[in-house]
Amino acid sequence: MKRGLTSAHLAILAAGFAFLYVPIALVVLYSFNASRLVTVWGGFSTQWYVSLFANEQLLQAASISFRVALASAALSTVLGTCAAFALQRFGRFPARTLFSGMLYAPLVMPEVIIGLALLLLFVGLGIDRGFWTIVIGHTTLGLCFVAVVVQARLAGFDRSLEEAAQDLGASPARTFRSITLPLIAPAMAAGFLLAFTISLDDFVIASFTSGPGSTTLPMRIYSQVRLGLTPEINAISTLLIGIVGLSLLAATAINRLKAPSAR
Amino acid sequence: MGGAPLLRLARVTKAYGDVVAVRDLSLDIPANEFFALLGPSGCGKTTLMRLIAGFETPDDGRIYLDGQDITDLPPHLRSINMMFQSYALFPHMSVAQNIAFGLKQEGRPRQEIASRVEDMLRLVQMVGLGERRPDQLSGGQRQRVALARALIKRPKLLLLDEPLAALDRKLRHDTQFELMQAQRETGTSFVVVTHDQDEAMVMAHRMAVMRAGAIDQIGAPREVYEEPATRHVAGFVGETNFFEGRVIQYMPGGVAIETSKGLKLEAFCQQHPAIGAKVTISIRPENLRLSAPGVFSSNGSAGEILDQVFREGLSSFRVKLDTGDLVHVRKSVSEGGAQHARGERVFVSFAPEHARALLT
Repeated sequence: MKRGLTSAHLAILAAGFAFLYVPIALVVLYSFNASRLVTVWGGFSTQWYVSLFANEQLLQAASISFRVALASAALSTVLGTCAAFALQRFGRFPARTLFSGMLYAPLVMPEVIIGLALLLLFVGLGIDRGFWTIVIGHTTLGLCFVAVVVQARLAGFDRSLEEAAQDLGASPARTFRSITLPLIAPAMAAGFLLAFTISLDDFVIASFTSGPGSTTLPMRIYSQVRLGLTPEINAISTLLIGIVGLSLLAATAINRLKAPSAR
Repeated sequence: MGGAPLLRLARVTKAYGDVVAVRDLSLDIPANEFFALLGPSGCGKTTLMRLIAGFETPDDGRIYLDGQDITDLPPHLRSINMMFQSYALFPHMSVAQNIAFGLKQEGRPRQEIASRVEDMLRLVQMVGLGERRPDQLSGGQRQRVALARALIKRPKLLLLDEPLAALDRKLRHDTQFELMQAQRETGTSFVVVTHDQDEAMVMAHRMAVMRAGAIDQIGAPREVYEEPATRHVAGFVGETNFFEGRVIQYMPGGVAIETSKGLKLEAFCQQHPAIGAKVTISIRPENLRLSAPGVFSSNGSAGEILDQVFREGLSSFRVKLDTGDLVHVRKSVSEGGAQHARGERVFVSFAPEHARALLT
């Protein structure tokens, strides 16, 4: 047997990656198209990126999307970490299984239903929809991702580290700050980035919970596409892919690099 | 020893649900002592240590340190430190930061911390390794960092949970002596929790043998070995041979028993069992005599050598007695006469004062 990859292996690998990434690659490729026609290659150009930054509407939507993503990721990180602690540290409290199930339900529940439910809630409570309702909607989804990542870290956490800190004179609060927090921080950061990307590319929940003046980037892209595909859309999509991709890479790297063997 | 003991446990009880881990236990430990808590797993020794450290609160009884009642004091306010079995080194801190952690909590000036960390590094022979991370250290080095970290606050009492369990055999041997030296140099009382009777025998000034949440016997290692108080202690500390039987007669300083197989044996006894009471005789392998048939004829039985093992200057024999009992006999090779062939007929016997008849 030959070592490494045979040509058959490589072909299968290429086919798999092509299936997954050719559509995305096309978007990236055509964002550099000089031609106005989306389906005809007219040479290399970065003009659509230039005109993108003159498109007031797209820029405003991008700014809303980023602020929503930051706010909901921050909120998700705090709430998700609390939930992870409750599940991992509080032992068997009443309705723990129910709590755990409810916490992770948004992972599998159709987003349309979450969006619809939130819409009904906000309308029922008479809350004006806008920036903060999208943040709340995205937090329901983001916090379960944070909880999953942080809970995994806590499960592998050696409790004797905290006991050792207390034994050496650190109060419970100081122990949390100087031992527990630094050791779960990578998981929290990874969770934050996951929640951030989920919020950034969400379309369904945002369209249910947004109000006038709070159109997010995916919503703006969708409405523009309905009027016809422009190379500008390809350009903004390329930027979005880049940001989401880098965030996910960073999340993985942080969770791996700064994970000291918790022995 | 004058004055109050350093540590006093007064009738301490701790239960988890229906399981009583520590039962009505009292114990005094004086200053500057190397004390070992010895027992099989599940005997309550770990719970006892966690009670002393403050990670558990007793259901009943009080704990005193230097005369002060510390029963309700949280761990971070007790001047007791602990070395964890896993060492529990903080992975996100360097060796020096790990060692300095306790002093930082006290808010000591930076210069004092630095110089005391250097002192500790010197004590554990780790000078120059202060900048390393715990995952760059060998097992033995981690153990020494954990020791330095636990000693830097100059605690009155240091608890060590199975301090040698994670080390290999050779390193364990050397580390025993390092721990003894550290205890002498610091004057801190060490309380070692261990399931390994060799460790306790080598290191401790005094040891307590635990079983089922209670202490069976407290004493110097040699005393515990030579005068075991119970059958459990005799079997747990060192190797021994047991003969079970009923008391048939009182002898001067002891009793005579008859085993179920009809063997009549005499042994020293500190208690006063009734005639007919069930007792167990414990006789250490080195106290058994092997002689040619016919030389001795009492307090023993004829048998046949099953096999012989040579180890560390000692010959160990397994002898099958004619009664069917199997006994271990150990002889120093240098004493001579330690040569017996397999299948050889011998008479196994012992002097009554070397054996102990135990009631429980």
